[in-house]
Amino acid sequence: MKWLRAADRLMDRLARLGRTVSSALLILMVILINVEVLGRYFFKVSTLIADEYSAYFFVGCTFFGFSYSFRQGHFLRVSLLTGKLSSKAQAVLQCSAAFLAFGLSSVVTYEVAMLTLISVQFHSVSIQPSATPLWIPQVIMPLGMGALSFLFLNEALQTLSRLLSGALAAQRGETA
Amino acid sequence: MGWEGYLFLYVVVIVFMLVGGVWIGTAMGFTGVLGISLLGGTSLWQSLGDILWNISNSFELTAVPLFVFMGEIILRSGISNRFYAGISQWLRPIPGGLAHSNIVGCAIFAAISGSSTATALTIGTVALPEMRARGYDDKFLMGSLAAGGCLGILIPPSIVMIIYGSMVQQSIADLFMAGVIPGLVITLLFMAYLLFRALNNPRLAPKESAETDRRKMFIGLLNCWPIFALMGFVLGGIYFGVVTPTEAAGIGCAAALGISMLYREITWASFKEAISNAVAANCMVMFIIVGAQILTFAVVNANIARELSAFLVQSPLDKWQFFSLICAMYAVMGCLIDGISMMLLTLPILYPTIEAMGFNGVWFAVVLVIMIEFGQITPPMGLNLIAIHSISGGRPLSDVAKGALPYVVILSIVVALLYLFPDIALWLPRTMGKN
Repeated sequence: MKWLRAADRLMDRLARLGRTVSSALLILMVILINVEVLGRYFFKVSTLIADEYSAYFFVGCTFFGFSYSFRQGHFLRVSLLTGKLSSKAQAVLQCSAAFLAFGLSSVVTYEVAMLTLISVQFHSVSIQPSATPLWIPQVIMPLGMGALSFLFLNEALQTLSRLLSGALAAQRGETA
Repeated sequence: MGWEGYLFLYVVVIVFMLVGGVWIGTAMGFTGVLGISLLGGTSLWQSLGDILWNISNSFELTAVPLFVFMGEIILRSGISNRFYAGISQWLRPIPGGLAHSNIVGCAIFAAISGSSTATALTIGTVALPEMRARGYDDKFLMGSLAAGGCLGILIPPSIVMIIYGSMVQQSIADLFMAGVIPGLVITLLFMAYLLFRALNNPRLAPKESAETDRRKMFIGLLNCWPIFALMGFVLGGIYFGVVTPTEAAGIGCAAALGISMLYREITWASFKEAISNAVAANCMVMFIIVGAQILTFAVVNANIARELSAFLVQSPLDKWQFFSLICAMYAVMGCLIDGISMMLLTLPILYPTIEAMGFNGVWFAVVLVIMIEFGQITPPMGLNLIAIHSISGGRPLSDVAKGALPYVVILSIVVALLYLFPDIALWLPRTMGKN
């Protein structure tokens, strides 16, 4: 199906975008920590934000990177028994697992979005000297989890499509 | 439903999903959400936001992608081959020859690169053809490569230790230091085994030339310095309290990049690959950690950890029996599931009992990591066995497993020694910061 292929290409772009942003945040983390340590030991000055902002960058690196990591097949699963099943049975299990993961990640996305909204409503700021509005680093979580949810849904639909087309082909074969 | 009912339900649901091929993080997270839904409907769901924020907004866990990035730079810069060649010059005169280089090279390189499997592959690719050409026994050399690599997760910096520390609120610096002496003890025991086998059966390892070429040895030393310097830099900084483990990781990244540029062996493409792999590996671990935190919330709310701990403390099991039971459980689990997932699955339920039984949390981390190493070299899920098998040129996996079996026995002996002499792990953390 055309729209499924288009969706798959879109997911690829989403994952690549996630990788780029996560990589940039990881580099920023390295720079910030090195500036802090060198400043502290050679110039007796501190950025006062290194711990706090490194952790925020870590939030970004993690949540934006989820889509890329999943797309690359890095999410672990136990394939010891499923590997011994027929390809059709494997596809059924894979499709169910992806729908289950989509359901869970959707719930989690909603809840982290609510947390961010509460931070906006109550003007919550960090307890560190920077007093950073918390919604800024928190908004990364619904964005990253939302992207991951789409990837899970895409995985489920792609597998379902393969499963159905395979089943249809088999049916056609039987009819012939 | 009582805590026993919830425990039974959680175990059944998780096992069912894992067997069905659900992603490990999803299996844990789903079981957690199911558990809290049974306890309080959807009212407890709003805690999910706080759980995710608290676990990801963590300066301690920030060390995970940084150490992985440091290791990726080192792996892609060709330093591993120079290091292996350098260390070989020094260890080849010992009976067992280059097999000792596999143990020491893999152990140190895996520690600094953070990936035992990647190390076993990188060094194995160089060592296997070379040692085969010299007439080393296949099982003997494949076993040493698989076993050497697994030491990396115990010798700091260790990603597993960082995750453990953040899960149970133990000092990561203490955990790093606790791994040093047991790591050295295991390395020496592995080498002692090789020496014993080589002396008893000279056909396993041909005698290397006893003549020492001082120039070659000096060059070998020069090839080793980047790794030793990086390790000394990172561990020394933590030990003397100059930097936190996360800061050490950040500086380690910059230092690794500096060394790679000095050797002119890192390209823009390999740098991009290193950073992409670091991002992917961090997210793989964090996805499981997020699931594990949701499960932990459900376990705490169902009072499972507290009640199980009280039940086991009052049971007729003594400390040794309980310890043996835990080790047996991890040995079986390690054959079926990867190390980090095994740790994250069991800690929320078992850790309160471990403490209630009077075991030290830092000491237990060392035991747990050794049990994870155990899983890495036991079939069918032993990642190091699979890695060496993949480059063995068609030798059966059972050959690699047979070669690694004696090291499994040695690891078991070290676990028993740690039970009898906990100071093997606890002495160094106690001295930290006193200098």
